Amino acid sequence: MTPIPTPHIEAKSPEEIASTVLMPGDPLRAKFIAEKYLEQVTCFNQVRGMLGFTGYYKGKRVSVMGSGMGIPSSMIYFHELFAFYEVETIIRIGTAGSFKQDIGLRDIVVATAAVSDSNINEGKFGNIHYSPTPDFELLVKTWQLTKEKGIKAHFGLVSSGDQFYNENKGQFRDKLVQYGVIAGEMESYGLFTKAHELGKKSLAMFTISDSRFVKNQDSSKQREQGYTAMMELALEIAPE
Amino acid sequence: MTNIPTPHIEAKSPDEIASTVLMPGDPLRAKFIADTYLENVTCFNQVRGMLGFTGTYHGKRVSVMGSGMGIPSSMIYYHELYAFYQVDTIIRIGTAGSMQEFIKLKDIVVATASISDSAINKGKFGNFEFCPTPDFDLVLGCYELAKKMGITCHFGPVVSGDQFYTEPSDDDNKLAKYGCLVGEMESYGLYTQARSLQKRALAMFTVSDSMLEHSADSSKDREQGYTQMMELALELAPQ
Repeated sequence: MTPIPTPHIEAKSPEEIASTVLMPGDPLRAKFIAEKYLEQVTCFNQVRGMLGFTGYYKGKRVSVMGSGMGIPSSMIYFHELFAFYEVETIIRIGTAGSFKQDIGLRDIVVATAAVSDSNINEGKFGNIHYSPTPDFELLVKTWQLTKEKGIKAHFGLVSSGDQFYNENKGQFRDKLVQYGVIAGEMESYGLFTKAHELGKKSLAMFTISDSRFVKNQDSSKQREQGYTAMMELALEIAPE
Repeated sequence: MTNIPTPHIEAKSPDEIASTVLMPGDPLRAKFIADTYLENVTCFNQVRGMLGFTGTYHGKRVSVMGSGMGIPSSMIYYHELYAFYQVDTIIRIGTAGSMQEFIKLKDIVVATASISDSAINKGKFGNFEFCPTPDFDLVLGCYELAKKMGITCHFGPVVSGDQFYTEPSDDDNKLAKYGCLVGEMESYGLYTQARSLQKRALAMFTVSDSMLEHSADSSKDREQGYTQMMELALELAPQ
């Protein structure tokens, strides 16, 4: 076990971090959430500008931290939080691109499993192709809460791509849609894999920030601050 | 072509960014370089905290910006800088872990090629395996300059891994046997992106930890300790 602080997180003790961490890709979105929703906030990480905060949401202790973009960056943080800081649950709260006409800008998507062009699991299970999935209880709890609150959320498969700009973009998208993939993002395949590897819990939800079916995309500022419905949903679900 | 500003960079015009960008993974190291070495500094990006600055070094205009960690994050920035902001040269200035006994902490390594477990080039060239390499003129320029400045550099292939924490395997021993000098997480993506857009790239690293000795610098050392490499990259940067 690597001693803490780790190479990427400066918190000196697991006690500085709550047992559930909400993780947007953008560290400034983590800061926005801490400032808007949490009380008695402390900052536990500034290394590489990857801000992390712990505070209380309606009396419940919770942390929020950026993960950076992509599977390699985010898995560093997932691993260090799960393995070295005794974190039990990570809920990714990200942005995604819609693959379907009926999933519009600002809609919420919850991942029931993740597919990917990443090689991280290649050969790990011999000839078997692993299917990374979220914690089922968290998934059901989310579904129940969205029904209760009348929040429109799409549940389905998401694709975690290694390349935001891809020469072959779209080549396989129709096939992925045919097989049930509803949105594209860049991290949850790594999150679900890491959580299962270490016997921890994870969930990933997204707000749609762009879509090939509409001309306008959300600006970087809207991505940082515009996604309050998802933030509130994740804060409500977060296990203590 | 996506209009600028892009989804990840808020600079409103290519004029805000120099034709050469030095890119550490850590945006706070970019800020340290701008604060320490550049004059007439302007900040052209704060989106996602991925700070980017433009200034002058001994009168030469140059930019410095973080890339984040890993191929997927860094390729977003490489692509947007090359394709949308008319950047010609990106020099990665990162940290790496030594895979060889003779490469010690704080040594400088320059990647003459990059190897990876990433699948970004899988199937892209049919049955061919693409070999991502830097701009050769930049490699030679770096070699001559390092000699002139009295800086010892190791030149050789490096490994860009997708996973900082991996389950145990024999891969590293085999790669070391085949000449790989250090492990890091981005240059395979940089060299691929530069070739795909006919731009120029080079990657150099300061060794911050050793996979053999299990020793490591602290995150604060990583942020500020690598002045020799920074000066080498700043001197090398084409205008």
